[in-house]
Amino acid sequence: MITRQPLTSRFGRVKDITDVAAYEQLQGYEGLNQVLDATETQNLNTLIEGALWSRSGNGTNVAVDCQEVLTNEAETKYIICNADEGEPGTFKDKALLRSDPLAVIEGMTIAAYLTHAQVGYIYVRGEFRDLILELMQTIENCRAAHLLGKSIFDVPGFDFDIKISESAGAYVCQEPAALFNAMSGATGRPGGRVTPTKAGFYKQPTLVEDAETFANLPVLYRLGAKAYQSLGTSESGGTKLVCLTGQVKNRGLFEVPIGLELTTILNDPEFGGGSQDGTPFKFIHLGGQSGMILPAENITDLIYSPEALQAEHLTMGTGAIVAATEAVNILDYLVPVARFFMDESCGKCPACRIGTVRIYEALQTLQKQEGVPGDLTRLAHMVDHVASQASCFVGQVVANPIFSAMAAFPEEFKAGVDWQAEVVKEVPW
Amino acid sequence: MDNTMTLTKKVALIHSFEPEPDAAVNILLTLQQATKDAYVDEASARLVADYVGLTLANIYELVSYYPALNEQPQARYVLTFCHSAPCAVSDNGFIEKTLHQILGIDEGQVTDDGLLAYQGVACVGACEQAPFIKIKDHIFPNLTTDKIQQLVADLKAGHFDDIL
Repeated sequence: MITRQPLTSRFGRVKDITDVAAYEQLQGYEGLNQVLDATETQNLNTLIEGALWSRSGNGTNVAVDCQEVLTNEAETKYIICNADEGEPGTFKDKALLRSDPLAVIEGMTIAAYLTHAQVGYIYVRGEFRDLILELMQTIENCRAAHLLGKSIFDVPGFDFDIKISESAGAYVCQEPAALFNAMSGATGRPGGRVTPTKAGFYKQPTLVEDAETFANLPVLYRLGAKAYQSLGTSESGGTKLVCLTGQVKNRGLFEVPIGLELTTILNDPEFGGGSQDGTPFKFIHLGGQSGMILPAENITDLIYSPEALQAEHLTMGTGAIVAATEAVNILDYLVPVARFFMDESCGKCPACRIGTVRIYEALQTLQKQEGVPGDLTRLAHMVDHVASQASCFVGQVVANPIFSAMAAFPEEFKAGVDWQAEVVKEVPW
Repeated sequence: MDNTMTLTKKVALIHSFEPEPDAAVNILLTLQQATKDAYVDEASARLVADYVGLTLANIYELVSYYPALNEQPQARYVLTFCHSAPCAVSDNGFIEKTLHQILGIDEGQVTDDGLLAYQGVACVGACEQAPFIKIKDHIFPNLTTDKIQQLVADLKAGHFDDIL
């Protein structure tokens, strides 16, 4: 019988997570073995039929990315696991690396075999010292077992090794150009738009995914495309790691089949278990800070799959879901959201650098009910300005939570304005 | 710089990395975490710059850009708490006020004895344990005002010297 939760099936079952033999006893490296026994075409077909899309929030098709890296000729190709995971409310990649790092490493090794890449990096937050030390030990153990290095599994020419690149904390490094700058020793600011699969790290073909996506690869090849895809929907195979936070009864990490009802994820005792005080939810924030805020009454029929959410102009994002009850005023929630974007603006684009500060200030003013007539229009204009003028996603996405919240709870925004106060003329910018 | 780390040890630590620019942040973070005052001083920054082939300005650009790298000496214990939205919903907000009351200092300041400071951060991935305080790699979860008072008292008494 196939476990319905393959990504977390080893969590807590291995005493030493760096131990390769213990990993192999729990179906570890069965995925890579399947890959090595098949032809290149068969392997790519498995990836296509399994319908694995990126779990990092960018929604790309992993088969397409692998194929592009494979076909783009270069002396050195790179596999990068971006496990920096700076999105508030998200802790799935850290959980994977803390509980089953070999699954991520096996996934990266499979990706290297599929794309003929030689060098891998795990980009991980440097302040998690214990996690990095465990990762270093895991990589060393893999080298000792000939699972990293030259001629892996005695396959001539299958050379692949992994290094650790430490992040010092910058949300903008989710943007590939910023990530490559940071990893090369420069500050992690975005440059121009890059196509990683063509000209990525050091301008070479590069596959960039998060830890969860890589951990899916061994599962896909071990189970086979059909069984893997059947864990999810016809368009999106597998399961998804969901981080439930806020006022759900059971906060934490859950592995859910793709295609489950969103209300089941929130309310089923197996998952969120409803709200902490038993009252109905007021809103959820879907996919991370950059996602949409949805009133609870609008999610009753929503299916948690990329295609179903996309049809509603929503995304799974990183898998973060924050839920709040009537006890939470929407402005109290949005102020820290705006602060996050202000703090994480890299400062390159003036609209984002200055605009995110103005947005934060405007929301604080409304929160204190000190707004004046015209403030709501000014706020909307500023959000629109930042979203349209910023050159990378950090500024571009700021409109998602704020505009969706303004649409869902207009009365709470209006309550932040003293409508008897003198109208202040709009300041041009 | 930290008096527990000799120049020889510092150089040995730096030389345990590859002498390439892409190793700069790895070295700076490792060096910072290995030192008592948890910051990158100018002498260390010069050593790293020379070793990886960057300028001193390049190194300080990294240090000033990234929140995890410090330009100034840090308190013995920096109590970090999350000020992002998911934790705000989980009532993390009282932590800053409580620490301000107990320690009598503002965020980012250090107590006179150099022992304690507190700092809000974006997210440390411990959302399900909120309200929490993180000190180095250690999470103190599900806090109340009383538990924070006890934690500060324990830190002052040196009860966590072996794990922090």
